[in-house]
Amino acid sequence: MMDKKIKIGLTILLITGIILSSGCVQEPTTEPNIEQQTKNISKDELKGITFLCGDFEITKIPIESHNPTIQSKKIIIKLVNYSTTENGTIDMGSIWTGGRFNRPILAGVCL
Amino acid sequence: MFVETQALPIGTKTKIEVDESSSTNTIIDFKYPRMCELIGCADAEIEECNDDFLNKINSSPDFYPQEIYKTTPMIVSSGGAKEENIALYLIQFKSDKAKLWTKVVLDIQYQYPDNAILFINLSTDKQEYLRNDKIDVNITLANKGYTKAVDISAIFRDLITGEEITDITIGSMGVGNEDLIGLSSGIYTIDLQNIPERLKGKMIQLEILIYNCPSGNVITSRTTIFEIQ
Repeated sequence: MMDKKIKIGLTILLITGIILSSGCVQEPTTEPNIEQQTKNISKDELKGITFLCGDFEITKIPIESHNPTIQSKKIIIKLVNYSTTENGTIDMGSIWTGGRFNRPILAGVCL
Repeated sequence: MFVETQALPIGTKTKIEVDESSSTNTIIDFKYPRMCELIGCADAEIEECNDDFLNKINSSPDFYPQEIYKTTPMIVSSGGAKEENIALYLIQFKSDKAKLWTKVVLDIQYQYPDNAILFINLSTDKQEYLRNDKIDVNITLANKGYTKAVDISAIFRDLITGEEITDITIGSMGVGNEDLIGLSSGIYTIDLQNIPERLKGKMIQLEILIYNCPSGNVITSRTTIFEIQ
């Protein structure tokens, strides 16, 4: 069993967490049209809205078990850098389509 | 953000604990944005969700959501396996504040049903691969029951999102009774040239599924991690 810690730096807009938290997590009834869900947002439209942006490190560590009916893992998520912005630029080009979340979720970089 | 996704035999019990003594958070001034004003309200459902969420934030005596992780409902996939996603909510809200979890330590334990065949070891020959490499996957199983054949498949997932990128059948194994012949092992080679290009540059969680032959139900599973450069 590999026990090497693997760290990954990610730039993730924390607003992703906001939307996931918003209760909008439901099974899509139809395949989404990604182009229709993409919207370019100008800087003016972002005025007065504060975003949280940050970088994460995720470490997954398999834990050795002497009981083969048990598989254990330790997962460590560290927010290594974060900032807030009221007039940031959001890249709407990226849309989260992973897993069951086929809704237009902001994912980009706060500048 | 998905934190962990894995296909598991039906009957597997999942235990998740936040190690609070090792986790840290900070509280900042933050007003939750009305997302509809930003992304448009063509989808009324999003607007309702957003308003509902704002109401919950404003009416909650403590930070909301109260739990920072959520296990999504099981999705029963083909082969008698269930797929389980664990998502983290690293931000909790009050009306004018946000609690940012700067470090979260999760302990996750899967307890498999006793299916006679048990996963003893899963390993790969390297921890980093090039796009045109071949991966040698070493699998060791134990069998407390009668000798039987099992089918083996592999699921490649994005380590971070849990997204399934591809799945392939990698072979089968005859697994004899442990008391008679000891543990059963095999090395299976996966050619990375046969899997999608978008695996390149990703950290991969390789999930190995052992299927009962011929019923096709998943008996057990294990994961390991590597990088494709």
